[in-house]
Amino acid sequence: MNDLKQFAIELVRDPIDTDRLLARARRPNCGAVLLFLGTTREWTGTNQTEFLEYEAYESMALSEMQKLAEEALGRWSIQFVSIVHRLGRVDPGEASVAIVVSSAHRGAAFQAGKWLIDTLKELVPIWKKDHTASGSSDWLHPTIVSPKPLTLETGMDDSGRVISAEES
Amino acid sequence: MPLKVLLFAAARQRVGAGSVELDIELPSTISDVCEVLVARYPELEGLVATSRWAIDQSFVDNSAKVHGNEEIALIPPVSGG
Repeated sequence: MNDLKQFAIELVRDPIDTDRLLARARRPNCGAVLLFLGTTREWTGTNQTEFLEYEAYESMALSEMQKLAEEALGRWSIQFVSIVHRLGRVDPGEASVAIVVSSAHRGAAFQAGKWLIDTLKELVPIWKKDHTASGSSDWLHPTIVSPKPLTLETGMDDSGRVISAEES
Repeated sequence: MPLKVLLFAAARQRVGAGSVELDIELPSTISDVCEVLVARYPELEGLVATSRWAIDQSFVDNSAKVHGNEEIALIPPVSGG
């Protein structure tokens, strides 16, 4: 059985080309190819985002993303991981991050894919700035305040963390 | 001896620069660097309290030693993806 494991890590400044990512991910020994896209969401509670802007500590973001890919390839029966993060302006509906996982069977791909995006959001030195429709712009530096459920107005994202915007 | 610290996101915006040079005795620890940074740039105090640090592109804790030949970066809470 071909057990070759590969990964591809990129920071880009143009729209993420999902056709290219998927073409690279297909393998005859894989029965599953999983694609996750993180996209700019327009509304968070009462806050309307006009666009997000991403900045990275690029050298460290690349090395941290590579560590994630290597760890996932070691932990699950998967053959290929790709992580692509876009920098600069990302409009509503557009993808800021893409994660691709190829594996023989779909169970490992789903598990690895979830772990990769969850862990990227904790560890990789990339930051987003929310440019709102009202004209303000805030770097988002979320700190975990409380695991208790909160209302939509406090801007809780679906991992349960409170997003506290830094005034800038 | 001046120590260069890389800044990102809200830290970079508040100070108005992608890096600062701190006057600090070396070697020191990251804790010492925090103190000197906040004393010199009080506008960073709240952010430094919730930030991590990286030396040569790896996360370190506040007891890590700094000698002066490393790349030091303040890593505010991340928000990629």
